[in-house]
Amino acid sequence: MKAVLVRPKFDDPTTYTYGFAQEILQWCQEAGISIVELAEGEAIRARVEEELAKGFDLFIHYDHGNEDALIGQDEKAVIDLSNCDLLKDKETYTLACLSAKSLGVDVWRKGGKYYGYVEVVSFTTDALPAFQEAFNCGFKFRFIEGNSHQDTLTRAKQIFDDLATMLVDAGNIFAAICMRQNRDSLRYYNAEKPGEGKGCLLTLLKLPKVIFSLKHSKN
Amino acid sequence: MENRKEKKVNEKELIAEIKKTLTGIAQNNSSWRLMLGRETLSATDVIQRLDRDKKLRKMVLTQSLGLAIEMFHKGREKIEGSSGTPKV
Repeated sequence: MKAVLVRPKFDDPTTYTYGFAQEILQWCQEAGISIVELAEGEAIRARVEEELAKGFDLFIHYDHGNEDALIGQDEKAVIDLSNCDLLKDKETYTLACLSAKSLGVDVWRKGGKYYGYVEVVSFTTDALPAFQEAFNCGFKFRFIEGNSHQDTLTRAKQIFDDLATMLVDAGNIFAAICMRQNRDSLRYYNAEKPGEGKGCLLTLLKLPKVIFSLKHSKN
Repeated sequence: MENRKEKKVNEKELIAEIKKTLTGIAQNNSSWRLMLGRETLSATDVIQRLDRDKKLRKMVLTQSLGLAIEMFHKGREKIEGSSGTPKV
């Protein structure tokens, strides 16, 4: 298996997430996964496209994002809706905010698998080891231990839950609040299809299409 | 109507408790920060944001209530798992 890890570092959040990704890098090296690291100045669109074009199985991105894009060192998109064909039929694992909302869905439609978040990701500095464990555990379950997509998602959500309880016991109430919010916002397409989450706007938007196809299937 | 009023009062009480917690953090751990997407917020920043940022307020309220419910669930599991009242 070949992985490409992109980890920019240009502000406070990325300074922390850069550190979180170090564990991913170490796991890959220990498990014999071939990994190309594009860090800081290398974490830009041209370099990412160049590396992906050489062939890969797994794309890892830590950190900032929005609904349509994963952001690089120059604060511009390294992956967005115009080049996400590169992730077709591949696995993507990201900590970026919001990206599972639109970009992840697009990648999934192209046959890719996407582990990401549909809301803004948050964490507090009083519980960094717990957040690192939560953000990285899905990677370990899927790519180190070889769990299925569904089991990976289920186990990861349980870890978020357990850590939230532990944080409450430790008196880190606000960290526990963030942990739960991140759990609710976590998605793994194919473990679930986009729109299966409760109250998803995507489901609502697909409603006319569903009604149309139902009407036609009766005819 | 009465229920809605009651809910608003309860939400205000909960937010007040959360603000007290954040005030304690601000006093005891000045280096504490919340990373909220691209933003870095101190405990004092979060207290102020809770008054004007509806999305953050809603998230904090929803997850606080969720945590409270989970604590009751876990407490009940302990009672039901033992022969009677949990040992203190």
